[in-house]
Amino acid sequence: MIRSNRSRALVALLAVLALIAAACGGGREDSSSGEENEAAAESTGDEAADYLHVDDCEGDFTQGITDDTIKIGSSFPQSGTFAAFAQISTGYEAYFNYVNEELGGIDGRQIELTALDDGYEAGRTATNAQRLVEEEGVFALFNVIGTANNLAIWDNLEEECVPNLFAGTGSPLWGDPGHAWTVGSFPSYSLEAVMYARYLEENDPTAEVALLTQNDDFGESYVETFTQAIEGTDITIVAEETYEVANPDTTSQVTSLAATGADAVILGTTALACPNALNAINGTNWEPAIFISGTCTSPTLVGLAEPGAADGIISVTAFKDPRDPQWADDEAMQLFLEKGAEHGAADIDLENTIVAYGWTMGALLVDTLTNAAELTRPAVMEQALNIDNLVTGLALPTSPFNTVLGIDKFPEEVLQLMQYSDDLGYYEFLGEPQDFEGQTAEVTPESLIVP
Amino acid sequence: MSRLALSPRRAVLGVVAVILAALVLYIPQYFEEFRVAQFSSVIAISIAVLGLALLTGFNGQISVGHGAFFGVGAYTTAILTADHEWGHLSTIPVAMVLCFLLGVAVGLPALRISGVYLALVTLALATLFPLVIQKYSDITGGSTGIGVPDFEAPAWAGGMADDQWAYYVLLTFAVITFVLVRNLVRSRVGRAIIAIRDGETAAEVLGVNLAFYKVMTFGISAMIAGLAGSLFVMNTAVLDRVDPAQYTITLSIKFLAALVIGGAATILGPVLGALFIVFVPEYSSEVDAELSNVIFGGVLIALMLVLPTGFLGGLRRIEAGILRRLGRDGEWRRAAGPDPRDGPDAEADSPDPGGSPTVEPAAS
Repeated sequence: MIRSNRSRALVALLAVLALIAAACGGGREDSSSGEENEAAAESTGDEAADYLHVDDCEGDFTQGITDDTIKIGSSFPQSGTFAAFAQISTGYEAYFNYVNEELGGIDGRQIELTALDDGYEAGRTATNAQRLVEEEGVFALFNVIGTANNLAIWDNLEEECVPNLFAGTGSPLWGDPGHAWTVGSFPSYSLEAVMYARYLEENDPTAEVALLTQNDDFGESYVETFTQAIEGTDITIVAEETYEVANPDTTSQVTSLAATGADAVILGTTALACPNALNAINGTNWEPAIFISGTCTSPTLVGLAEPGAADGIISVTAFKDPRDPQWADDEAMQLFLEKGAEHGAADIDLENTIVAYGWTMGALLVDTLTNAAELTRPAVMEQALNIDNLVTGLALPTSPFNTVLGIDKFPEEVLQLMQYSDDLGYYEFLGEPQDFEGQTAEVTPESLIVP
Repeated sequence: MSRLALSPRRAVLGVVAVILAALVLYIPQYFEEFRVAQFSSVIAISIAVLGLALLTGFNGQISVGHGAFFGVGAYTTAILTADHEWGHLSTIPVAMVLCFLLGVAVGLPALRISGVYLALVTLALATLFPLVIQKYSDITGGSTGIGVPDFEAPAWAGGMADDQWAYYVLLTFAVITFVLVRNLVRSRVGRAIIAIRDGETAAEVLGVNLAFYKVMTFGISAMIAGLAGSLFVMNTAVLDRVDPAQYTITLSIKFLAALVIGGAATILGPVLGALFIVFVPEYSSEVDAELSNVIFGGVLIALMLVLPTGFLGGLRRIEAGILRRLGRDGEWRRAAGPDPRDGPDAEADSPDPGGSPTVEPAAS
């Protein structure tokens, strides 16, 4: 008997493989020699060279740098339930266009950005990162979104000595000196939790608090840090609920929490769970003080909540809100509004804090590349690990970026508490900024820092 | 036709098979590391889908939970290599035994339910898996996951890169597994398994021990999925981390989609399905990132409308159509297989998707 099905399968497989080969192209090369690397590494200070284990590095320190371009790569969700975060890129793309077109690039080199979609899936982020380094030949990775996603790539990038700059997550994990080539950007979630604890201590010292968090290490950052921060106070946690990343519907969890009648609720939520939780709370007759994750505050997410649901929510920020009239005459804000409109995509939303964050990230990267001793990977990394009180982009003047090689790997540790007002349509500042400079590791429970 | 006769058709197919084998072996020399790692993940996934094919395609027991077995295999290897310093390959038997037992444990109560209800139970299994992982975070690393040690090419492999080594190892396991499953399906045991799918009462009347075969098939199917998960994790050149978000219900659904796309009760269909679910999302992202999921879903729906029996079923219809056009109906039709218009899955050769048990091969 002729095995006709198998034969069809063989033909089909042949056709598919041929298609893939044609579409993907080959290009396997041996890794380049380390001779250029030695010369490049000399410009790096001894301490930095040690910290970055430059001698063990395999890759090419100047890959992605030509006479007229600097190639940068990123991977973030452009599809799926986390696609809201893709708006961050509109901010830094606008900034790069501005620098390229008006300022002649960095030292005459144009910034070339390649951004791949990973749908927030760690496996795809890993493939994207390798592809960006191997196929696109980027100099560095930039603002990769997601804690699990960065965890999936930081080992390989560490081995290949590729900078993973300004990861778009506030996980305290990025303080790990064992992964010197990865630096975060967003203020740590644990600092937020401490600020909420301190605010409650001052304003409602016997508060009963409910917690609603995402069931992963993002949410755990809030739970564990807050629990630790209220030790020794009269604040108590009366209920804890979690929701799954894949299912941002929190209605039943909120119902359970509402039954406790707690005085305050901390929402360790992100993406679509933010408006969902606010709506759910709004739908009950429970009126707690609502503390919400800093990742939720942009109009993209909170804007999806029902009218009135977001009124009075408290969060933190390190960046200027474009809708806040106190910055109307601010130079940096005016630059953002003007150049963002000119160089950004046609539909760029310049009133959106998420775009303001992206713009600031772009500015931070450009400043790092400009201030580096030279355009090699170790030198740029050394600069990123030694940012000296830099207020750039739309960072608050009270929240400069600051890192110290070997001591403080968290760029943003000064946070401003703020409260949203429906009437005003923006967040008002609450009190003075809290300075945690150099303290993230201290105030964060150890279990959250060790990967 | 005698099996040994060398007809032109068989000669052509022989050449195709050789070319295909050469291409498959050449992949790691041609493509960059990340692509090779992608192909390695296709191999691992195709093994998992093969396991699902055995259970769902050949035995008719629907499982929307194979992502969980895959995940158990993956985490077994991850935990043993990361925390207990086992060699990667030596974790495979552990993963397989664990998953076999788990499959039997699910297969036993599954005797009482079928169809949609069984699907729901397996769905629950798939949903529970990431939650269990997060609950026992001391062992499993919780939501942060576990970093898997690199699966390195040994010294005797002549300077082969790690990604190439992983590819060849996975390919070897895949070939062995596919051959074994194909042999199983064509054997007496296989006929019993298929007979159960086609009509339980008839099978029982004919002397097939329903409970034994159904539970065994569940166990073996889970075991194969566990092997696949274990191998998947060894592909450390690009992804060297396990975390629960990688093994959610979505994965189980993707396996099922891959099964149906390739051809539900075929042996090589899983490979086509695996290629589809790994590469199409990437291409649809390149077409339009925002709409990539919509495009993927759209392509899936279109495929199901145009090729309800999967790629292989569709190819058969194309072939039959071409042959009809050529007018070589009589003799060639016997050789090519029954007219697909006679029934959706009527097949001539191996005990594949069968309408009735009478369409059985004379020789095996």
